[in-house]
Amino acid sequence: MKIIVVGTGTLGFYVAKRLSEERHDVVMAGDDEEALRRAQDAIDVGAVVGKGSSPSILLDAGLRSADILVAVTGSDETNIVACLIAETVAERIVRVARLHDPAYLGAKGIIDKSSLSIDLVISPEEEVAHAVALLAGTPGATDVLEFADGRVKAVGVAVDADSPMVGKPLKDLTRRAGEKLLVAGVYRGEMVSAPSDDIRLMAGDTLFLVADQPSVRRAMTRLGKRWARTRNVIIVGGGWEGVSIARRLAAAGVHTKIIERDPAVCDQITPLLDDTLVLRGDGMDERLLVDEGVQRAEMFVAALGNETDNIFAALLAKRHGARRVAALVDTPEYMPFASTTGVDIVLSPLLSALNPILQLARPGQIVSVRTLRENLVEGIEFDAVEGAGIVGLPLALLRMPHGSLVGALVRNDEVIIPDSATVVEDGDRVVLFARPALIPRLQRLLAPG
Amino acid sequence: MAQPFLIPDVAGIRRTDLDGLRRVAYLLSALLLGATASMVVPLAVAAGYGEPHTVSAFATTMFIGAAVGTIGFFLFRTELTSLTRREGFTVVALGWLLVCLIGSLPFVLDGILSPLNAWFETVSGFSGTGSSVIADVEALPKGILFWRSFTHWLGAMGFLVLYVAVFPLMGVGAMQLYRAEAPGLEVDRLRPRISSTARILFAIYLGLSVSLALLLLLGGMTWFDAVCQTFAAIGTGGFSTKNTSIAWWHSAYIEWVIIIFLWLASTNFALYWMVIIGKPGRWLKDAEWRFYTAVLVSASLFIAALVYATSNVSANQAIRDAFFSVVSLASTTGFVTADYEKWQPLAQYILFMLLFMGGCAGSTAGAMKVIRVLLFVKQAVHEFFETVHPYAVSTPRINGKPVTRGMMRSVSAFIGLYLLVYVVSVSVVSLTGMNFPTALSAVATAMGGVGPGLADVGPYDNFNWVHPAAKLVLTFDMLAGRLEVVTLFIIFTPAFWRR
Repeated sequence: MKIIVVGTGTLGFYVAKRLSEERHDVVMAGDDEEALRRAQDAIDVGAVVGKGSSPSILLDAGLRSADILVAVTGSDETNIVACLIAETVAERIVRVARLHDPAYLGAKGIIDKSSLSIDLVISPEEEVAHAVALLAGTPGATDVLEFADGRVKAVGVAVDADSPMVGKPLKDLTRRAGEKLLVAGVYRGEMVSAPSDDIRLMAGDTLFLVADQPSVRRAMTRLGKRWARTRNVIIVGGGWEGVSIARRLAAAGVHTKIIERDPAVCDQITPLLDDTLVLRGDGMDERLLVDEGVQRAEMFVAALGNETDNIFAALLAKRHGARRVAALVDTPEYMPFASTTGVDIVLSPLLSALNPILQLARPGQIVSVRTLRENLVEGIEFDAVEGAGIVGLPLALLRMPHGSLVGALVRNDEVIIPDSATVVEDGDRVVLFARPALIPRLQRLLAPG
Repeated sequence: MAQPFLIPDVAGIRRTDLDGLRRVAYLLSALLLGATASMVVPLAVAAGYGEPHTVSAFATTMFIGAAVGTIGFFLFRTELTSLTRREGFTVVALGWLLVCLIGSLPFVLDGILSPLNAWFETVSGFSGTGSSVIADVEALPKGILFWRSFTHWLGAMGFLVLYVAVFPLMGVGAMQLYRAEAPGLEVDRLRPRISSTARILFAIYLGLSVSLALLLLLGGMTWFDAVCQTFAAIGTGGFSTKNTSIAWWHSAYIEWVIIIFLWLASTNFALYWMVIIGKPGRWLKDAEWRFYTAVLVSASLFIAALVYATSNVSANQAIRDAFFSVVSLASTTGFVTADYEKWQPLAQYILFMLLFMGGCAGSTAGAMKVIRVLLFVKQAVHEFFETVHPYAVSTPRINGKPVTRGMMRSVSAFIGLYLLVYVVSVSVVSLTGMNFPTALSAVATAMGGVGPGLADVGPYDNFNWVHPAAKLVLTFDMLAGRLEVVTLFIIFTPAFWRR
């Protein structure tokens, strides 16, 4: 496919990177010449220097023959104008825009995305809020991805030092009658190893489980996690991310407090947050955190504007007794560092915003694409149709590349955790996990022909 | 039984020097295999002409290349997710040396040339130069003769570009290789992906080659001669299969066809793409191409007039010889139809100057490239303008776009470096006892990838008599010229190796 990416920021770069790695023809457009040059040094993409909202620049980038336009500059207005131009020039192009300000789509009935000629709005804030809500619903988890309307979960869980499973072989966890559970990977230090049944768990390991909801819960219990409902959450930072997260959680009935330093921002966000307590103060002030009951919080989310502040604030809250702490970090290189220093959950608004775009650029009946841990692993949910490579043969005979596996199937509303003898049938909903680099080689499995 | 598990990979990116070396070794092995595979063609030719000795020379070379290449390929096998700039330059520089080395083996094994002469001949071939150490090429076995011409064709496009085009597996690494093989100027991307771009360029190259070969056949050449002259012409190399080069055919048709195709081969290939996608205007308006064509035509007409006035040839002959010599030398090919050493000295001087300019960027031609000369001239003119209007806010433009300071700096640096290499090489070559005009033109012709020079290395002389040390310097100059100086030099600079 031919794809134009407008915007040379972190999100633009990662969108272009992922798409070009999947062998799409990508052209980046933006006015930061230096950023474009650096991008071309790292990835195989074309580049056009100029304003992304200028028709001539978009035409230079090949708008007439492009299949997808992804407008992800920092300015909503530029993104909207780029989509409008795209519609005028190439009617059939799929237009994706990032919109920051909820005001554009908030006023229901006045304007919606089709009147802005946008096919897909991506909002890193909403994606991250969704991720936090899922985590709140799965106590003890460090990562949660949902597939098949929530029937299949991919969950990251850390093995604590006091866990009864420490020193035990992995099969004690998985080989239990009736469990719908698969351990897809063991993350130890910065290495992910292919777990064998006999590998002995160590404190500090993170396991990636693929399972249905009841099995997740039982596995958690066996790992020594308390399945305590998330009742209290403290959020630091009243930016767009913080507000989105607070709204999600409050809607789910969680007691949410949000701490924001700037009084003007506090005044601004208070009317938006009915069920959330807005506190004016410094999120890194330990007195304030203790006074507001950080030790009783099941979850703490650091959503300040600066990612190193987020890591620090999360560690501070952890020290004062918050059970699970999350930090928003957008630089992929920082993420492993954040999790090794003791931050339980690392969330990236930008990288999570990649998912819907990747979904568009894939052949076949893709239902969703979710990425785990700085794009280490991608989960693809799709409907298997007759003629696709995956249908009709036992999994063992599919010769799937090393580093990919079928995590789960949903057949007639029933979740199946497959083994090597399982045969995927026409109409099954399949959840497949793979390293991103392998995706081009897996296309034949996903779609016919 | 459970399925195989997920993710056998390292998540944290830990780049070490060893990983880099491994990637370099892996790519070099792959390159060696590719070069070895290309010898199937001359081997088949030798077999077809019933030359058992030559067949065994190629077969032995291929065996050595395949053995070393295969061992390296599997020993250093690695995932080529990315390549640093440094690795790209290393692969290209070492890759060229390696390919020239394996390419020279058939000459040695067939008992035709000494190792040094074989090296000279092969480097001259791959770099598209066309200077030869062989006096009587017509006596060579056909297989060897074919290989000599084929090296032009393989080298002109760049092995690495060829590789990028054929094996899209390299992804990001492609850009680094591509850049290192044609550094200095920004790469024109015809398509967003570098491998697609390389494929298009290669298709254009192939198209030009096939057209020329057919036209030469129509002109009465044999299949063998037509194909070999095509390799040398489109690759702007210059090895001929005849001792008297193109003059052997005594055919105005063949000469004019070759003139036109040399001119086409030394034109930026991106311009042909513009025609294909329906923008022929871009070609005709291209500043570099117009300047180049203007230089060719005016130099040819001037020399024709000069030759006509000072010797007793017909006007027709003078024009044909002048055009052929000018286009042949300016396009850095080096085919010959006339002994221009008998011409008026000014005519010779003009030809000598053309050795430095070369053809357009993005073509198979060598030397400094027209665009750099053009930018240099524009900048000089601009200096005058600024002297008259010190407060003027203006900048020279090319194809309607302003010339940036960075571009100007890199052009000046390139020309400076090119001339520096020239001056140093001429001194070393002179030290071996070569006379003055010979040394001046031999180095210029080697760096420009042209072929013949003046005086003792003139159009009907060869390089066999040259001192061994001078041969080594000249081969170095050929490679330096082909890789636009920077790539070959950069791996000798301390800054490149410093961490």
